[in-house]
Parts: sequence; structure tokens; C-alpha cells
Amino acid sequence: MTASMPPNAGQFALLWGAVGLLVSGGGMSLAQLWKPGNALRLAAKPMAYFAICLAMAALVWHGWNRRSWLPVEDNFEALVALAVVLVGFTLYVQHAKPIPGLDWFLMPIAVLMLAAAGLFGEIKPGAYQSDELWRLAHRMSTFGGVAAFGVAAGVGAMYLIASARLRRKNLIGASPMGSLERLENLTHWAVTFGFALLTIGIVTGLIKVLKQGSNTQLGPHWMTSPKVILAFTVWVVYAIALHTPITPAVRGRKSAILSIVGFVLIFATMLAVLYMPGGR
Amino acid sequence: MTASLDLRERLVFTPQQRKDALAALRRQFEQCEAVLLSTCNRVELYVARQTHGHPKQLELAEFLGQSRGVKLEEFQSSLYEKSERDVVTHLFSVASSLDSMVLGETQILGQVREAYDAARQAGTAGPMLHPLFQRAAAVAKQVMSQTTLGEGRTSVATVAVDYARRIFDVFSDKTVLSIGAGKMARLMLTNLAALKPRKLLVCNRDRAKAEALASEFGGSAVAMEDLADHLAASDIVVSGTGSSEPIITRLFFEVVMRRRRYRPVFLIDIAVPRDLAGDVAKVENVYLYNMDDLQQAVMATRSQRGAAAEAAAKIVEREVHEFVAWNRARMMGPLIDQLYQKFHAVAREELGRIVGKLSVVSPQDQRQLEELTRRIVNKLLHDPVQALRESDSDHAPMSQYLHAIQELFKLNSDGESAIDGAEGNASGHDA
Repeated sequence: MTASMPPNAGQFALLWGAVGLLVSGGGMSLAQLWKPGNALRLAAKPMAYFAICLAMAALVWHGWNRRSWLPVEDNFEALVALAVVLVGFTLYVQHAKPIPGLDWFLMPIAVLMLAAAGLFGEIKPGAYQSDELWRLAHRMSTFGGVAAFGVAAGVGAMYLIASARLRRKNLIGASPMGSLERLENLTHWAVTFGFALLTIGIVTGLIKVLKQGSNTQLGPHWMTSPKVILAFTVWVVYAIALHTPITPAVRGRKSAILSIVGFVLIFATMLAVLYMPGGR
Repeated sequence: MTASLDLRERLVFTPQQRKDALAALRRQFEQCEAVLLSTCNRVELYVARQTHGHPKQLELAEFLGQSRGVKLEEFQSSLYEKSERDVVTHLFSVASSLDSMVLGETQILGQVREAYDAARQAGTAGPMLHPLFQRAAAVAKQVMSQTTLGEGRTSVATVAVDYARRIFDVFSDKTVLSIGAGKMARLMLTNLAALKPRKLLVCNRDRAKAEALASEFGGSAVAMEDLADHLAASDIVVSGTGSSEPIITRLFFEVVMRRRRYRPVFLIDIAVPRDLAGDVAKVENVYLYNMDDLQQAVMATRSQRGAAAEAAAKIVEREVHEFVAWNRARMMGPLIDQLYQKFHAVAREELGRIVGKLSVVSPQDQRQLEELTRRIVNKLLHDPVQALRESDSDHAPMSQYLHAIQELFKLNSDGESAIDGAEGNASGHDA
């Protein structure tokens, strides 16, 4: 068991600095709706880059204090790492082939994760057991899946808005959000990737429970524990969303709604597992 | 409109003719700078020369007529001439499309750049016109990026293309189907074909008309009897038949959508009365637009551009002010230096003469006297120099101030510092 180590004041300062920068950058990005121009966009971009640097600095510093370089060994690090992945992905897409408005939908999720790390990091640092490789695989794949589902939810929300605008013929003066086709493809890609990781996470979790038998943290009735039921529900939701090419009746808006519902469920599961008493 | 189409056609310059004209202008007036902008809507000659130098405005007009073999009296009434600040305002407005028939069109900026490039190659763009045209291009880009002038579409066909781009990302795997082969269908296909779809199909009761239209865009004519099959395979459908009843109902299209596995489809109904029943739009993943919808988008775009044009004009006004101020500082700096140098030289000379006549002047006294004359000169020049720096073209053109200073104080008029401000002549015909 890795020693439990809450983040120190400096790490919190870095974390809240990153949150502040992301929120300010998001505000500037949104302000472009009323005041179009390059100045705000150019100012918002470095803020996101600076925010990711601050969050990574907090992560590295915290890892250094614990003498470990694995970024998912306690609640604080796990959430910060997830936010960093999400912000990094957003910046990458916006650099490679931009989707207007993508940051408005993904950055709030990253802010939510950083805020959760900041608020709960000290209350329940909850260092994880990391003595076995498959436990590590369980955490990495599950958290990776959450990040991918975060992307799917954000882009799914964009799809719903873009689709509604097209159907209501309310496009003049509305900020573009990328084509429906691209948004759907990105959602599908994120769900596929997240589903694969979630499946690995569930299987490795099952191995963990079976290996521990009745000594498991989830107790002897682990099959009916909220964590297992929620994880399985999420898995089913994404399995349906993933099958849109085979089951075309759920493509488009329905698939986007499923992506959002799935993310809300998995994020709630994650928070419950990390922070609720007896969750983990 | 200041010139008829007929006149504009006769005065327009091809790239080669423009090259020859610039070379001829340079031979005739060695000291001047010139850029010749010639488009289907305007012929404009931008010239910078020394104050009271050549070519004068009449000489320019004659040159223009001679270059194109048109008598001056034929187009004199259509000429417009601008100078100094007005030239800057005019060029910035032209490059930003504020002087165009269609506000927000970007073709004019390319044409302004071409004209400038041609002048650079011909060696007729110099220290006055280089910064002017470079700034004009930058202002035009600023206007496009900081206003919504370039956004939105101005015809139903371009609105349709814009909406298609909001639904689809890639068109190389998409099929476009036209039901009907009339004029409006042709207009739509002209714009949609620019998206380079994988297939373009034309379906019409008159097979010959369908084939003729399809061949124009490298597409294929298909039979009306197989309409359901073609609809199931098509991603963008334009319908413009002369049918008095809807030819596609919701029930019919629900079957089509099942066959196409609910892949999104963009339906454009350009027929009046409509070809597609209104409730087809309720089918999942169907995006149906009729003529009214497209027309409304066009109207909204136009009214939106009115507000954007005001914002663009403000940007142009601000940039003109900055450019004129920058140019004034650039032109006056060396002249003001010369003025100070001359006055200080006179003061030093007179001081030397007086000191020579005095019996005893200690080094300390001499320094005090030098400081005294320096301060007197600076104080005497302060107010006129300040007035020069703050001069604006509302009272008199900057070039006239510069010329007056040169003449009054017999300053050196060689080199850039003595070039009188840009005497620009935007002589042209604008529609």
C-alpha cells in the first residue's frame, strides 16, 4: 500500500491556478460570441497551455513527494491526470483540425475534474494499492476510459446543439460547431476507445475481486455493490451507443444522448468510488 | 454607378496591357510611383509624385485614355479623383470590399494584391505606395477577421452549400441527386458540384434533359422509376420538379431512411409548390430546407452585413488615421531635423561672431552663451514644429505643409524626406 499523502499548499496553489486559467480562457473564448476577433482567441490559447503546465507541475511535484512517477496512485493525482489528458486532447484537436467550439464543451469537464481534485484531494487522498501490475492496469484503463467518455460526452453535446440548430433552421449568426458528420465520427471514436478501456478495466477489476475472494473491499456481496452495478450499467449504455452502425435506429441524436448519459453515470460512479465512505 | 458596362469593357486592362502601361508611365514620368488596379468593376490608377511634379491629374486621365485607345471626352464625366488622405480611405475601403457590389466578397483583395505585385515587378511601386498597399491588404484581412462582413451567403445556392458543409465533413464519398433538370436545379448543381461529390445523379421525366444536365457536371442520368433506390443512395437531394402535388411523402421517406440505415440526408426543395411534404422533416436525421428557408437565410445575411459594414467602416477609419499619422511622422521627421540643424547652425555662427568681438570670454561664459542660444532656438521652433506634427488634412494636405516649410526655409528637397505626400489619383470607373 502506497502511503497516503495529501497535496501540500503549493500543489493546491498550482491546481487552483490551472483552474483559474482554464476558466478565464473559457470566458475569453465565449466572449468571442459577442466580440468576434483574433485577439480573444489568441489570448485564450496560451492560457490553456499555461494551465496544463501548472496542472502537470502539481502532478509531478506530488509524485516527487511520494517518490513515485506513476500518476494514478491516489485520488488527487488520478483526477489531475484525467484533466490533463482531456485538456491535452482538446488542444491537440484544435491544433490539428479545429472544431469550432470544442473547447467550450471539453474544458468545463476538465475544470470539473480539477475542482474535484482540489476539493476532495485533502479530505480523502486515498492512496491506491499498486503492488500488482494488473491492479495498475485496472486503474489506468478505467481512468483512460473516463477521459475518452468525457470527450464523447462533450462532443455528443455539441452534436445535439448543432443538429437542433439545423432542424430549427436557426443558423444565421450562430457560431459554427463543425459538421454533424465530424462530430458523430469523433463521438464514435471516443466511445470505441473508451469502451475498450472500460472493458479492460472491468475484466481486471473482476480478476482483483475474484483473487481477493471474500476479503475484497466490496464485501462478500460484491456482485450487488453499487460500484459493480453502476460500472456494468455504464458498460451496457456504451455498448448500445457503440453499436450504432449495426443498430442504425440509435445513431445521430440518440447516440449523442447515450454518450452523455454514459459519462454522467461513469463520472458519478468514479466520484462515488473515490470519495464515498467504503466506496473503494 | 459611375461608368457604363460598355465603357468599363473598353478601359479594362489585361495583365499584359497593365504591364505595358506601367512601363510606359514610368518612361513618361520617371519620378512617379504607380499601381494600376483593373477589374471588371473598376479601373484605378494610384500615383505618388512630388508636390507640383508630374503627372498631374489631367495627364493621368490622358494617359489612361491613350493606353486603351479611348478618347478622354468619352470617359471624363465618369472619372473620379482623390488625393492625400482620401486616397488612403478609398484604397482601404476598396480592399476591404466596402466599395464592392457584394459586401464581404474577398475577390477584390486578391485583385488589389495582384495590382500591387504587378507594380512591384514593373518597378513602379516605391517608398510611398509600398507601405500604402501593404497596409491596405492588412486592413482588409483585419476587417474580415474582426467583423462578420465575410460570413453568410448571398444566394440560395450558396446558402445550400453552406448548410451542406454543416452536415457533412467529407464530400468525396457522398452522392448528390437532382430531381428535375430546370434552371434552378442547374444553379444548385453548379454550386454543389464544387464540393466534388463522389457521384452526381440527375433524375427527370424527360431523359434527354436529365442527360444534358448530368453531362454538364460529369454526372449520370437516372430513371425516375427507380427514385426510391436513388434516394436511398443519395446524401444531398435537390428537388425541383413542376409537380402540383408532393412527390415525396413522410411515409415514403421513412422507408427510404430505413434503407439508408438512418444516415443523415440533406434535402433541398426548390420547387413551388413543394415536392417534399413538410412532415418529411420530422423523420430522424433528415434535414429539409425549402425555398423559403433558404431565402430567409439570404435576407438575414444581407441585413446582418449592413451592421457588419458599419463595424468595418469604423476599422477602416481608424486604420486610415493611424496610417496617415505614421506617414506624416515618416515624412516630417527628416525635414524637422533639417530645420533644427539649420537654425542651430545659424545661432552657432552668430554666437561665434559675437564671442570674437568680445575682449574676455571665459570657457564657462562661452558654455553659458551656447546654452542660451540653443534654448532660444528650441523655444522659437517648438510651436511651429508642434503645429506641423499635429497638422491634419482637414485644413491643408500634409504635402502642402512640407512644401511650404521647404520653400520658406530653403531646406534640401532631395531624397525621400523632401518628397511631398502621396498625391494619389484614384482615377477610375466604379460600378
